[in-house]
Amino acid sequence: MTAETWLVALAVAVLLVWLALARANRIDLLHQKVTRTAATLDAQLLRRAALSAELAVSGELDPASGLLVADAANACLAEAREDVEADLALRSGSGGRRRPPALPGRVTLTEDRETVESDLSRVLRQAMGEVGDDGVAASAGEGTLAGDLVATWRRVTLARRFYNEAVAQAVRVRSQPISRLLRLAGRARMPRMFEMDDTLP
Amino acid sequence: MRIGIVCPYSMDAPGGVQVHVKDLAGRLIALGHHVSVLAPAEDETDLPDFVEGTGRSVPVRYNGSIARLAFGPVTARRVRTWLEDGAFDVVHIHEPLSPSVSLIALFQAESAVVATFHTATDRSRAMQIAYPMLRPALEKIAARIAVSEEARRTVVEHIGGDAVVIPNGVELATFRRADPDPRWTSTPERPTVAFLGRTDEPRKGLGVLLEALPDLAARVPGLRVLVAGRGELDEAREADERTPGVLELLGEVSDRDKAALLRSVAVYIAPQTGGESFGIVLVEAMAADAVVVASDLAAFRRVLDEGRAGATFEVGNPGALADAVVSMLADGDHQDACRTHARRWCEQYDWDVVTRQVLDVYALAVGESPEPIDRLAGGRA
Repeated sequence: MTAETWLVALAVAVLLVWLALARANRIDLLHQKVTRTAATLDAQLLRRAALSAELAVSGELDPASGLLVADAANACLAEAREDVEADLALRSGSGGRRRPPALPGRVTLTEDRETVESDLSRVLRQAMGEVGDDGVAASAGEGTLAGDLVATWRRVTLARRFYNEAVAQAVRVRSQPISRLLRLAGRARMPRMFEMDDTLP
Repeated sequence: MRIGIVCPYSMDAPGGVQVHVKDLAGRLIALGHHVSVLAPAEDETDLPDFVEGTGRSVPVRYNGSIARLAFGPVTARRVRTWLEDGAFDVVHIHEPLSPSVSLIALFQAESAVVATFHTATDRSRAMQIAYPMLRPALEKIAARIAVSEEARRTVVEHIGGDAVVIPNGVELATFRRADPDPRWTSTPERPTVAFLGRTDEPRKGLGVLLEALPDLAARVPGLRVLVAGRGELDEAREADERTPGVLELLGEVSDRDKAALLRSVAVYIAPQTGGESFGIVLVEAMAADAVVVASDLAAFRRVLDEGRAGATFEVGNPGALADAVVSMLADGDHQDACRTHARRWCEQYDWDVVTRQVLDVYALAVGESPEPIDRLAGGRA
C-alpha cells in the first residue's frame, strides 16, 4: 500500500520535472529567437544609418538636408557603437565578477537607440520629400542610393516586427506563474520591444 | 538560397493557394534560387518538376468546408525525408495551421521557418482544444506573412501577435500588353461593361447585376453587358428575355480572352457579396485599364485605395450598382482619373515587387551573421 503510494508520487514527480524541463527548453529556444531577430534588426538599422550617411554627402540632397541627415545618421552609428562597447564590456566581465551574457535585444537595442533612429526617420522623410514633390524619393529607383536606402528601410520595418514578435512570445511564456516560481529563465534579463518611428517616406 | 515551400492543399484540385505557391516557386527559380515545393498530389497527377507530391490526400470536412488534406504516418515520413534531403535555408509554410503537410512540416522543421496565412477564417473548436499543443510549434515561426489586412486580422485575433502584409502577386504585364478585342471594345455609342466569375455561385454577385439590368438599360442607351465565367446561365437567360439586347453571355473564356476582354471594356463590375479576402480580378482589371466598379467590401476598398482607383457601391444593392455604373460611364474625367491612379496603385501587386518582398523576408528570417554588425558599427562613423 505505502509502496504503491510512493510509486505514484514518484511518477508524478518525474512527470512534473519533465514538464518543467520542457518549458525551460522552450524559454531557451525563445531567448535564442530574440537574440537572432535582435541581431538582424540591429544589422538593418546600421545599414540604414550607413546608407543615410552616404546619401548625405552624395550631393543628391540640398545642403541643409545633407547636413541634418549626416548628423542624424552619425548619432545612430555612434549610439550603436557605444552599445556594442557596453555589450562587450558586460560580456568580458570588466565590472568585477563575471556576469552572465546578456541578451543583445536588451543591450544594443536601447531606449536611446529608439530615439536616435526615430529622429533619423523623421529627418530622412523631410529631406527626401514625398514621391509627388519631385524630391529624391521620386527618383528612388532600383540601384540608386536612395532606392537602396528605401529598400533597407523597408527591411527595418519587417525586422522590427519579427523582433517584437519574438519578444512578445518570450515575455508571455516567462511571465506565466510556473516559469516565475521555478525561475526557469535563470538570470537572463527580460527582453523588451523596440519601439520607433519607422514610417516609410 | 535553398528554399522549401509547403502547400497544404492538394495539387489535384484547383485553388488560390496552389496557384500562388506554383507561381511563387516559378519566380524564385527564375531568379536562380533552388526551390522545392511539397504538396499533396496523386502519383499520376502531372506536376512541374519542382513539386514533390506526398501521395494520397483525403477529402475531409474541416472548419466548415471540405478540403483534400494529407496526413498520417506515411505522409509524416515523406515530409521528414523531404526536409532532410532538401537541407533548406528557409522553409516557407503556407497555412501552417491546416492539419495537413503544413502542420507536420512546422513541427519537424529545423531551419528558419516563414509562414504565410491566406484565409480569414473563424477559430474552430478543434483549434481551441489543440491550441496549447500547437503553441510551441507556432513559436518556431521566425516571420509571419499575411496576404491581406483581413488575413492579418485573423492572425492577430486567433493566434496573437502580428504579421507583415505581402499581397498575392499578379502577372500585371499579361494584362498590360494584351490587345483589345474589337468584338468587345467600348465605343461612345455602344459602351461595354464586363462581369467575370462563376455565374451560379451567389456570392460572386451576378444576381445583383442581373437585377440592376433593366435600370442600366434604360439609363444608358446602347449599353452592352458582357458576362464571362463558368456555370449555369438559366437566371441570366431569363433576365435576357426580360431586357433584350443588353446581355451577352460569353461562357467560360481562356486566360488570353480574359485579358483581352478586360483591355476592351470601359468598366469592370465586381458585385461580389462576401467571402473575398483579396480580389485578384480587380487588380487584373486595373492593370488592363478597365475602370473598376465594385461592391463595398473591406478587401475591395483596400485594393481600390479607398475609392481613388475605382468606384464602390453598397454590397448587394442593385440600385446602388446601377447608380455607380451610370455615373462612372457618364463622367469621362473621373474615368481617366481612376485609370491613372489605378495604373500606379496596382504596381504593388506585381509579381516582381511581391517576389522581392518575400525574398527580403526570407533573408531576415535566416538572419545575419554577427560579424558585419561589429564591422559596420566599428568601421563607420
